[in-house]
Amino acid sequence: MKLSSLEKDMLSGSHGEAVKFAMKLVVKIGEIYKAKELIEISSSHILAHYGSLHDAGIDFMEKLVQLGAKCKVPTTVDPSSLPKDWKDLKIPEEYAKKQKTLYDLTAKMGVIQNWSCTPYECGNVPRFGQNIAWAESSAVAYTNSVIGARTNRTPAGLDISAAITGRMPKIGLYLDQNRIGEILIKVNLSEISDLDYHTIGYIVGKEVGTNIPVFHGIPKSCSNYNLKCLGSAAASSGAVSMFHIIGVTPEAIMCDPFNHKKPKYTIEIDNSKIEKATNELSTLKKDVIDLVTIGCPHLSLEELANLKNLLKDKKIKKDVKFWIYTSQSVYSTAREMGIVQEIEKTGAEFQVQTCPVISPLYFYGFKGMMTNSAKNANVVPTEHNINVIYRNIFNCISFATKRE
Amino acid sequence: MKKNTIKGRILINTDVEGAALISKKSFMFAHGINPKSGKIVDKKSDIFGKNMKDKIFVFPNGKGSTTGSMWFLEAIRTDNAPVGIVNQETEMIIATGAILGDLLYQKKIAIIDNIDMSSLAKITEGSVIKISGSESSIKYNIDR
Repeated sequence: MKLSSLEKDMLSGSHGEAVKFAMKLVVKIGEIYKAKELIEISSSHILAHYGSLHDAGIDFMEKLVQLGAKCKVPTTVDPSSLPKDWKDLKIPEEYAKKQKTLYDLTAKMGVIQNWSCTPYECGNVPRFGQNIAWAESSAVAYTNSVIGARTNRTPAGLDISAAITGRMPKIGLYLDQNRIGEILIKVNLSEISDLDYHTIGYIVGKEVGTNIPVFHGIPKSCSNYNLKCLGSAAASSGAVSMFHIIGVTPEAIMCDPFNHKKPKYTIEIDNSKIEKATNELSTLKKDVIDLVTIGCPHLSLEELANLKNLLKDKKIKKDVKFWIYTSQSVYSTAREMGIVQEIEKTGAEFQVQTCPVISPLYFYGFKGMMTNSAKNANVVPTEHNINVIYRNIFNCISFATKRE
Repeated sequence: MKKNTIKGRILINTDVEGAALISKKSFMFAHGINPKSGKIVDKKSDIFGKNMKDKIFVFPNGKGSTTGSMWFLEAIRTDNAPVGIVNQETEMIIATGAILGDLLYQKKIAIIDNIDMSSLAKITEGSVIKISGSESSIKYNIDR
């Protein structure tokens, strides 16, 4: 692999011990995956929730801080394992302390403390064509596909190393030839509901794995919310890092997403497939739900404003928690606008800067969860041992607010 | 080529041997293992309930969340990791965990890939596999 003289200096330690340490990992990954060179990246998005980093992740971050690490590019961080007001909840203090250590360590390195899976909506907004190094599979799918910035699914550890060095090996989705569509997805639905976008993503992820799907039959009028849900589900059920939608996503508007080649194969999505997958995503057969989660991926300001309207004049029933997940930046803005206060009047609660997938829900002893997120429904039964019912937002609200 | 020897590509260069633990499916470290014991906890895995500690862990490729590198690193930290990994294709998640294990704790897990899984059909579970870093190869069904 070719290194510039600057990069050689970084590797030899003349830019400090932290850069040297991080560069060793970046270069070794480049050598393994046969990169010809490194590229400069413009931003990073890292993982630092204790639930997955464990003590080893703390050791690693501590080592970097001891060596004097600072982020070279704007860097945000994925949701935390703790909600902001953790003291009211059932998470043990020892666990909370470890997460707080990760707050301190990431802050010392200059990581922007947004703790969200949707940094592309606020705090870290990439531009078309920019090379970035992001972790968080749903954000990777969104930025590659909807924005047209370029990133691989960057593993934890390599993410912060990219932030510190400003470099990544030029491999995978940084290269034009690896961004070409591979499988055609024909969406044959007369109408596509918000929930269907999740379900379509879930179906496609399972079928295509790491391949790049190209959707046909999704209207130009679909919302960014629809696309972030589709991407998050596909990245969760499979390992989709990028998708194209004919007439919708930028690289499929500017050129032929198949680059004049034939797709490997075609998948048709019709009502019966949607119905089957929707049922499959519900693992709970009886209604013993005591938790409803909304906000996977994190809600944007417009989604929160919409939720406020849907919850108007309703009350959450006493035996159900209605938890709304969003980023610090959206929460703060919504609070300034009075949206948060309106929602809280109903009894719904905010879980700021954390998420149902990576917070330790098993500490709470919930019996069953209802969610309008396919990623949640896909992951929570296996990772938290809580069964799930997968329904649209209207069903979620009517369940949680209806008195028995 | 010598009998019972397969050439591959060495990612982490060291010589190790251990009992074979074989999965025919893509494997996920994130939420798929208990890093404090080495036990496989992914109910969908074909080696659910078995333990990877000190084994030569054979599986085609990795899958799952990009936090997998840290689950693997935690298993290395607590000495519950396999001593070696044999893959068809080693995912970046696994490579990152192993490189950090070496950089941070000076603990080397041998990793070799480009090994065709069909040629591994002859390997019996629990038999000894040796990974040779210098020869870029694995030797299997060794009599101890």
